Amino acid sequence: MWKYVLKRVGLIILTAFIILSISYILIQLLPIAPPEGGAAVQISFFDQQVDLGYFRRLTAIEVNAGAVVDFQVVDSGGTTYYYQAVPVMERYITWLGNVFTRWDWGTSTAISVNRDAMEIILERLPVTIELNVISIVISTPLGIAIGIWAALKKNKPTDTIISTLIMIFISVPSFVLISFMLLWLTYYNRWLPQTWPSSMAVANDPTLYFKGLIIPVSALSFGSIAGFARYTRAELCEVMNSEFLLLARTKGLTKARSITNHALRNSMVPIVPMIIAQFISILSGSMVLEQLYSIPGTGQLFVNALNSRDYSVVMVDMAMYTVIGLFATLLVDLSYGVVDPRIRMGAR
Amino acid sequence: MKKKEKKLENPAAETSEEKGPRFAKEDDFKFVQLDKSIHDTKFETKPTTYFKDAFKRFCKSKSSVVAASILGVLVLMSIFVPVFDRNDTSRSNDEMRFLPPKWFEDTNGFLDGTGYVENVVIDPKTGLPATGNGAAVYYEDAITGGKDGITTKESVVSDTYSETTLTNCSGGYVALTPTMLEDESTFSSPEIPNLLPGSVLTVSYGADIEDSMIGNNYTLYLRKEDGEDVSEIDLTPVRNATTGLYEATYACPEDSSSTAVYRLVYSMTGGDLWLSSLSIKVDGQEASNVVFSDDFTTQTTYLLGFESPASFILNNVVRTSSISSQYRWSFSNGTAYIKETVILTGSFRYDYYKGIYGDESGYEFSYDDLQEFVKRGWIADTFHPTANLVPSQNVHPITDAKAELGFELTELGEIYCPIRSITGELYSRFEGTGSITESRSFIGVRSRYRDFYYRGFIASCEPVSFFLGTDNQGRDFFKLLFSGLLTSLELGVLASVINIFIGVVWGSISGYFGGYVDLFMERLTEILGGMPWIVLMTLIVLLLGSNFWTFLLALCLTGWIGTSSTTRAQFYRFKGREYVLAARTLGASDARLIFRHILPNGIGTIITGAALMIPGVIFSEATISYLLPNVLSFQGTTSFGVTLSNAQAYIYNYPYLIISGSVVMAIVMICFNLFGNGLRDAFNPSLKGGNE
Repeated sequence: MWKYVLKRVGLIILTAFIILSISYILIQLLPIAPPEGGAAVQISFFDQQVDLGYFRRLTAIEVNAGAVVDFQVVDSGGTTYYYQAVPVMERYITWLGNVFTRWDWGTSTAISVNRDAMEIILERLPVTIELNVISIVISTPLGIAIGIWAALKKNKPTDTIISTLIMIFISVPSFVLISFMLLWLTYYNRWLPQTWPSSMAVANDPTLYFKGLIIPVSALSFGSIAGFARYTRAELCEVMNSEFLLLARTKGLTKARSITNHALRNSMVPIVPMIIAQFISILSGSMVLEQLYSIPGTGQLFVNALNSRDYSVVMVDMAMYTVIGLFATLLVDLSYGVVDPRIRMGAR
Repeated sequence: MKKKEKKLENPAAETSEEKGPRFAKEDDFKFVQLDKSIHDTKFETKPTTYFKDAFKRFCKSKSSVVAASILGVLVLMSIFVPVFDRNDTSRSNDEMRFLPPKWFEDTNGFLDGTGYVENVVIDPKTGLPATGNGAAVYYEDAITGGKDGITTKESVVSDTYSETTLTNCSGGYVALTPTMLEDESTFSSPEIPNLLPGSVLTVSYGADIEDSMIGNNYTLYLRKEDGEDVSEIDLTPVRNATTGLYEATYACPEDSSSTAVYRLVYSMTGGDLWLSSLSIKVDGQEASNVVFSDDFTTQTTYLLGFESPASFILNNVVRTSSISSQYRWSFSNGTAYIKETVILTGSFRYDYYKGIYGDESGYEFSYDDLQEFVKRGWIADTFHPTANLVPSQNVHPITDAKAELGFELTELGEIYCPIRSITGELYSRFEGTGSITESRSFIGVRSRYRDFYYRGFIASCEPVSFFLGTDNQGRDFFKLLFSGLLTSLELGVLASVINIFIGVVWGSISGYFGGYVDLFMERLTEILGGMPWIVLMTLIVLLLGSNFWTFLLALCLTGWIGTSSTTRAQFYRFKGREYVLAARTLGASDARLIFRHILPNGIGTIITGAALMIPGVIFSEATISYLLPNVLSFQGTTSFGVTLSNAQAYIYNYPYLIISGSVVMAIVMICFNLFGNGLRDAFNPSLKGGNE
């Protein structure tokens, strides 16, 4: 078991390393966008880049000798500074060194100029995680309960209605759902705030916090509730058809007891790993939501960083999503073994 | 027991007796079918193939069949709508912006191209919506019921300027009508701080009063409260000729009580008053916490208050009184308050199509336009500009266009010609060095829809009704939506085909050979699959530019991983079977084993995967275009996601765009999923499991 886990973690680290390396090189192939702002900001940005080893400062003599100048900045005193980008592979090696030795992931060029990109991400992470945890906590029991209900009322009107609703919620893209909720709840009926309430507004009116949660949490939950319900229903229906359940009924168990003690336990086998998978899909699915509801989370940050070509922030955000995604697959695999002891870890 | 046996024995005995001897004599023996050749008769019923069988099962699932037919209709629509709907969506036409959907005529607001317009500022003089200053234009003839169809509302408002305009008016500006002061009203300010013996109080303000009013029905004084002792100190404001402000000063005597509290009070009877830029200074220091207007609690006048009195000077407050009781303010900075002001607003039903397609007088047509109309046979060729017209900047009025210009619409022109009549002619002549520039144009009545037709915006020369309205650039949203759907479908189908091809080949090889090949190939897919797809797509599109093909590439980069893993699983399942072994023994090559023997087993799964992959691709494309419209929007073509993303910006003001777009998107997704599920059940009945 532990050997398997260690092996997997090792593989994950290797995979993450390769993914991030490829991404870094690809991103560095894109045209570099220097920070917007005055010469002072630019110079301090480039100087920092020089310190980190991504750029080289050129002297006027070198420039006259024909060195390639990628950027030049004229400061208020009239002095011209010349900068030359280091070749991509060299930059990559330097970047690796910076990350491993100093945990320096680069500085932001647009989101919040000259700030450490890692710091920005860590600042935004709590909101995203909070929203995800709340929605998973709400949607898991609700989804499973609805699924059980539908399975017990199989082929009856209740089941048909639930199945249809599940179908609709799975099919409709989240931004459609969010748009309609925004229209209905915040515009036609001004029940809820139109955007994510700021911390200042929440300090003034604590109820605003809960009001602000309603739209994001329900937008994130609907899809996963439908997913859980569909899965639970299918699983439970299958288990209920199985022979051991027939045996349980034959030996005299009541229907309720046979379902709670035998059917439910067995149908939970694929559900538990699904919770983890859902958490990941919610995490990446919240990008649209964060953008539409102006939630200051990592998803919105990622979109904004891409739109403003702030590549350091993109890189760190991406690294976070990649690592979380990879560890989630490991967790899913491990959870199979925990839930169902028959499944042996690492068995071929 | 015995009885039973007997009974059983008996019938056997009887039959043998009836049949007589078991073997007939030789000459009785006849070969009945001796000269007949006997073959197996062909089956009367046609043999079913795998696909026919699946089709039969598919037809049994009603929801899937319905979904498939809706899908078929949508696909056909996406192909034919852009062809047959010839309204131009490639150019923008600001005049046709944001028309609501129109399906019927006169259904009182239900999809008839009208909309209920609320809280439009009404000009009290004319009783019609106020015009100018960037306000939305409402034509009287397009208001349902005309002037009488407007329900007016007077509301007394006390709020910040921005909130007032936001909640009480839609667009344009706010018209504030002050009510008349009936009785005497007295207003007092909060305590003026730091007004100690020896200091000097300076009050200045802008006001809308005649000098003669001061002291008669308008007074400003200082109230001194010292315990029980209350006295009034008269201030006589004098108008400063240079600033236009009224100013008053009061020097607090050295011997006065230091515990006295001072308040500024003003009272007035009758008339309407306008006060602004109130500044109360003590020893030259702004007493900023004294916001005089806050104490106005009566309903009878209006006053502007500012958060910081010093931040405004009179020039920042523009008052236009071209209409006597209508006021307008504009501010350059700060927050302005409106106090106890009556705002006249109106609500009415407005026919946007009438407003857009009606005639417009005073429109200027160039001479070239008219010559083009003559060439097309819309205007009789007797048309000629006035000869010997004196060049002038002014419009030369035409009273009888037929007599003066020979202007007459032909029969065809009655239908098509955008210019309906001519009321003026403009002729200017400029002699430069060695060149003479002449320009000639005609002022007349323009028929808007005929002009739109002439300029190619609409497909037929009649007031068109747009099925789903128009977007922010005046483009037919119906056509836009379905051409976007076509792009998305093309992308979805192509991407699915490529993904499935790659996935099947990759998965087969990986699954068939196993071992190190499998291990290596699996790691590759893991690396690709581990990258967040949104990042990968963005990178590709940023690197290679944004168009249909890069988008396709980006979608194909990771899309095949799912198919590959299912195919791999299939191969692991089937490669050990006996028939594979048999084929191998007979000398079948690896390729033959893979593609002829094992792969056909998984064909159902693959087809189902394709059907379920198309909506996935459409979804991915829509999401990413929706998220990053600036970076990733298609160049040239419009996809579904881009269309929706544009509509999202107008969700509050023009919700019909996002609603119709989302509904189509939702229907497409639901149908694809139902269709895919139906296919899965049909091809693989065992997977149905719990649904049975």
